[in-house]
Amino acid sequence: MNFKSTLRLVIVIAFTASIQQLLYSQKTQSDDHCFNCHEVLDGRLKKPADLFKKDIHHQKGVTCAGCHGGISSEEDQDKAMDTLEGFIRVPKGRSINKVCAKCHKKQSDAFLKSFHGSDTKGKQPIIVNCIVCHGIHNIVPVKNKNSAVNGANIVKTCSKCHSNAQFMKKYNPGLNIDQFEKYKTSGHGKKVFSGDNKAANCASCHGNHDIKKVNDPNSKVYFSNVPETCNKCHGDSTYMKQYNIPTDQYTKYKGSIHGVALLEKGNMNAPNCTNCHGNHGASVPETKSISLICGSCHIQNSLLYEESPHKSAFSKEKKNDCVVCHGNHGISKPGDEMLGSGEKSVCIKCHVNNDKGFIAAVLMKNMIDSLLKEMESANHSIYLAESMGMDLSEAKFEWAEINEALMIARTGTHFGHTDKFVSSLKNGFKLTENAKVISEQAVNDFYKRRNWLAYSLIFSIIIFAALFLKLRKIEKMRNI
Amino acid sequence: MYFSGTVTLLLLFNLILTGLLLFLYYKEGNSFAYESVEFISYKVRFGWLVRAIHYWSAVLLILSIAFHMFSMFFLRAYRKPREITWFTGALLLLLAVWFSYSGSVLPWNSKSLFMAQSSTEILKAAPLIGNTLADYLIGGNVITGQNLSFIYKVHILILPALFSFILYIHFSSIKRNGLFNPEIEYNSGDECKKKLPIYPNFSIRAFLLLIIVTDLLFILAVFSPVEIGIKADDMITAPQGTMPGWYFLFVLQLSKIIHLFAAEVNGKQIGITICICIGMVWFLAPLWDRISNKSKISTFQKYFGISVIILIFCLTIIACVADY
Repeated sequence: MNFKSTLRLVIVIAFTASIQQLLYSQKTQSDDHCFNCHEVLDGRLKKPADLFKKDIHHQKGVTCAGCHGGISSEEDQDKAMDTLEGFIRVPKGRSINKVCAKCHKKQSDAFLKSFHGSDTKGKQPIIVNCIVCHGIHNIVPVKNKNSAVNGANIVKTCSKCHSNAQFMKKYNPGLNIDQFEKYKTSGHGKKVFSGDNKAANCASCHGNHDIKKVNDPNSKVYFSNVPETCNKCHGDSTYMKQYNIPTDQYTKYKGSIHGVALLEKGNMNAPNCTNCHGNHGASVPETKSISLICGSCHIQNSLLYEESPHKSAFSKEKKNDCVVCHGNHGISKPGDEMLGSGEKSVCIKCHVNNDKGFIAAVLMKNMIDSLLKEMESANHSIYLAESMGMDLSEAKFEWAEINEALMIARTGTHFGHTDKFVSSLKNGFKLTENAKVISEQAVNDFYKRRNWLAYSLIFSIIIFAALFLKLRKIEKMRNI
Repeated sequence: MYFSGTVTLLLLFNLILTGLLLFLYYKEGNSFAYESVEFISYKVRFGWLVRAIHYWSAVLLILSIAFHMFSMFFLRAYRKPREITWFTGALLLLLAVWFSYSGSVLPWNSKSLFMAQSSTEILKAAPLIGNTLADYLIGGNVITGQNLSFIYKVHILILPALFSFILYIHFSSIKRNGLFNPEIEYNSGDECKKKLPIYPNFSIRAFLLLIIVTDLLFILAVFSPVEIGIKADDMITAPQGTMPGWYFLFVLQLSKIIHLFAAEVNGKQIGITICICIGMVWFLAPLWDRISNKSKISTFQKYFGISVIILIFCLTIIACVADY
């Protein structure tokens, strides 16, 4: 088959299909007498018919009676709009849902259970019915660019209420109203507004008909559900192919110290994706330093790092601050083994044998190791004294301070220089020594008790022996 | 034999005295109990000693009552007209165990709480009365900081009152019928003349016993002081394998052995049922021991008594070794 024949065939098929569609449309239009009459009326009564021409329901053959009841095929107005025939006039409020639910039951059920659509505490729901979002008489398929709930439009539709301070005050005065503004600056927003409908909009994360409150554990954006929600798109390599970004973030995050804390241990203080990337304004971190993001939780570490020689060195080499040593999505639990020159040391990634940084790293590791050894010995003394029932409250108080000194020293490693590190670790050594002295003193006290017991036993044995002899003498005398 | 009752009495006085001293500093309640025990042990002069003596006196009290009862069982001192003395003595043993059980919760550390929870579970397994009995003992379904106050009040008010009342009946009965003396009961003639005068012979012997008991208490208090432990958290349930109070160890071990041979049955329930049945036979001895020869213990009674003692002793030792 040559090109001309193919072209002819395509034209014939297209023509036939157009004629069929036209005939079908004319048939339904001619049958829908409500539409026919309203179309030729003026003003308020004409407007619904004009809008309805482009409505998907009209195109699919749903007549006016589909929603308003009555008989559309009846030419006599009185008969067509007879309430006995089910004519309900203009449905209002919640009754609109019932009309839509006749065909869209699944969506209606989900909506009625959602935060927007449920009657909470006997009050009227926030969103009364479907037309608030979907419009009326001009409803088009969601995929149609003119739909109020399509891609970029849904963001605007949601923002009608969510960016309206006066409106939001009535429901949640504490809720921010800048979601739309932030979204416009986000990676998702920029893509959506440039015509990329694959990028996330409000419904991608929050859901559509079944939206739940953020603090509802069933919500897709509940704090601990966020990583999985993001992963639906970001973990799908096929979906993300065109963006050329990795898709293993969730896998890495799940195994990270943050992921384990949040997803396994249920620690809501651990960060999810939004803590570093933002939520409505989600994007690749754009701060001048990653440490500012990590520093929002790890304040002390961040402050020390900002003053450290690493800061300028990493900036020069355009390295991502904290990420260089700790990684990003797959951050593992930091340990002392990250210092020094061992296999797991991160210092030796950059520092070569016997340079200034290398020597500092080895010094830090050795000092921490010897403090830990001292602590183990002190802990043993405390345990020993405690098992003897001695008062170790003072030593335990010192113990808490030792741990704090160790923590400060470990934090001090972010400063790079050994000054702050050594001063706090020296304090740790001093406190450990104190705790050891106190516990050894307690052990000595215990032995003192034993000595006093021995003296009292000797005394009581003497009394016992004397009485026993006296008793024997008496009994001998009395011949008992 | 005569002096087991005297030792019991000495320990009882010890408990009352040390209990009163502890009462001066102890504060009941979830937020104060542990802290006040810590204060008694560490800050009050000789507080640790008073607490340890109170604890060890309670342990020895149960042992001495049990020993007293065993000796009276083999001597058949429960026979007419001393049935009341026997029954009240048995009740005093049960009350001493209840004392020890309620007292073990008061320090409010995790070990004592878990131990009490485990003891409660054993009690609850008793058929028909188990749950109700446990409810009355701890003032609720489970031991929490809320009913610690209930347990404390039972320990310092209800139990002492009950104990004193039953002890009064016990002594009244002894006074009415005289001290049991097998030589007088079962022999006649010159041997009856060998009655020990109260003063100075009996008194000096009692004083010598007092010295031995006091020394023993001091040795135990110094070498095995009562630990403070970690503050109890009533939101945490006892971990698997937690041991109950030492006086319930034989019941637990018996349950374990039953469970070992018949995994499908409720070992705890059968174990405690067996123990209750044996206990009932033991305590009701005055009712069934009427037909045997007056001066001679029957073979059944001898073997029954020895078996019970060996069973309790061995099961307790096995449980301790298994725990260790």
